[in-house]
Amino acid sequence: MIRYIIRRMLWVIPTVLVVSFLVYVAMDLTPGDPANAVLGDVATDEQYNQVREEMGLNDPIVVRYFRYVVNAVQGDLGTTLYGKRSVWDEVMSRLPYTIYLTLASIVVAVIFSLPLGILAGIRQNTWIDTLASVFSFVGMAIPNFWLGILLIMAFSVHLGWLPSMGVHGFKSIILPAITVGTGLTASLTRTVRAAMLDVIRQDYLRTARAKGLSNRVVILKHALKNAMIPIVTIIGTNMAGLLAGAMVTETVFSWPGIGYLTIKSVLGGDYNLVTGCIIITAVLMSLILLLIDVIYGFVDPRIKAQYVEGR
Amino acid sequence: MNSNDKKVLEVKNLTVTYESEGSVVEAVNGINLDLTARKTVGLVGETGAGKTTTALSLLGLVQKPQGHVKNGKIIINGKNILEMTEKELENIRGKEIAMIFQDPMTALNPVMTVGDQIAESIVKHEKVKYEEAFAKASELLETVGIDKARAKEYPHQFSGGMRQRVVIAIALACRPGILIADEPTTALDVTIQAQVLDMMKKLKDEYETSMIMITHDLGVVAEICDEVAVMYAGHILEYGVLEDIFNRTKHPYTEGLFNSIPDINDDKIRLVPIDGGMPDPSNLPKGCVFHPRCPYADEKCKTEKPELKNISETHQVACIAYDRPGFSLGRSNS
Repeated sequence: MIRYIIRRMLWVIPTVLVVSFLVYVAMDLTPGDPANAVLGDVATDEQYNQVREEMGLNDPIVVRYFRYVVNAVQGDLGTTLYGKRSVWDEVMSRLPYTIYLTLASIVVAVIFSLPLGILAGIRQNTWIDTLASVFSFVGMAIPNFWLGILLIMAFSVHLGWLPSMGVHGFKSIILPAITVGTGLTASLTRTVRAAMLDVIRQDYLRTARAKGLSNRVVILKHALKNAMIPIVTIIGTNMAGLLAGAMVTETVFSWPGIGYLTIKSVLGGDYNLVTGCIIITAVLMSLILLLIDVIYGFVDPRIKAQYVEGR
Repeated sequence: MNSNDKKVLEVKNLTVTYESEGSVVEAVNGINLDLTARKTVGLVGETGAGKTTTALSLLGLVQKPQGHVKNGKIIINGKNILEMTEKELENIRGKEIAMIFQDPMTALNPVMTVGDQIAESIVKHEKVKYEEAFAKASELLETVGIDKARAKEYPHQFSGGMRQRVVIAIALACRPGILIADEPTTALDVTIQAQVLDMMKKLKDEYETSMIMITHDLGVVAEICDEVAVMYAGHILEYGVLEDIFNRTKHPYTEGLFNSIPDINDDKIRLVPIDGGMPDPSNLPKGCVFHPRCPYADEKCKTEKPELKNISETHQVACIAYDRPGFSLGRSNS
């Protein structure tokens, strides 16, 4: 198992190299000149060339990329274009907020979708199943920016209960978490329902009932654990996506996370910051996907056995 | 009647239907069945005869909302289980009546260790601590011929025959008075079948358990059963002690079953399969359910429904052909 994890960790390296190369090249191809951006329109050609030389922009792209990677390995992702702060520090200062929002949204989603999905699955074609379906469709159809603005109008503007932007204690997380959590709840409810429907027809549930176990134990112990694989998958992939930043929601609520930072750096043409944001996100995603695979092993002993065999 | 002949299970006029979208499937049609202490009754018939549905109804496990136990009584140790609450049913399942399922590949929960799956039943019924139950479960594994150290392993680490032994251990965990075995050897290799069957026979005697053996294999019946009920399309067509069914066969369907078995001593005899297939259970034939496939059927069989009648102390048959003077089956002539 440990060997499997180490082997998977090593795979993160080429993944990140490929991602960083693509991002680096893409940023180079985008219109706009960093030297111009730094100097403004009034600089002389002499100043302009000097700055380009200082920034290393006159070297071929492969040389520049190589230099970037060598620095990145040492933890130096360059500096922001404006203010010359360390990109690494900048991204890391935002990371906790993104993690906070991600976890809060997932907590919201799990709290609502697990009971709803289970009930919909074991009471197929009843009113609760219909309710869950309607909720899922609506929840998935609503765009986050619209829901976010709607919630701000209701709870911040009219009722004045909750803050509409920034981070001011626990109250601030509620609206963003609901905004991100709604779509997640919707898709998770469908996944839980489908997984339960699949499991509930299995012979081993009949064996469990024949032992005299109560329906509650049969569902929560025998059925749910078998339904966990698809549920973990959906939670995990969504978590990876959210860590990349719930860009829209973070922007709507001015939430100081990675998503908001990425949007701002793209709009400002801050190429070092964009590259840094995306690379750190790529590393995070790879680690989350690895984490999901490890969790699979704990949920299903058959998968764990494959890991061990497949050394 | 002495105490050894005590009836542990009585099924009276049991009717089970499955209903969906307007169509009604009559899976079990008014069957009667008695099980005497320590005896084994075989429930024999083709796939779809209603054997498994009968078994599930004995545990109160007919799946709602489609399945309905319409009628009748199922009396286990003097109590009618059809009048029990879900809570009361949970208390007798696994404790007074337990079931061995057909397919060992799917009957075990893949994400729980086999020891846990056995221990669960013990914790539920014997109100002991988990550790104690797990220790007992390990002992049980030893009893069914599996090394007790393997209690911490998962079902996928066992072969089919081993898994069926685990399923048997689960069923026997609380020493139930009644054991229902639903084709326990059908999914296994022939060599393993004999081993598992021998073991079940031994444990049944040791635990003084009464058993209902569901099978379509007449070899298994001859091996293990004291009495036999031949089932077809939800009806019992013939009922009797082992010798009655094997040596004094009376029902044309039972005869058909025997004619479908190859004779190891005479390879010149051609197999005679029963013509046709099982009737559509949502649209059973009028009169005798077997008449469309019966070589002896006449006009009367198409309209008149035969009752199960005593023809000797131990032997019952449902066939109106015996109203005809001098009627007998081809098999009894030879």
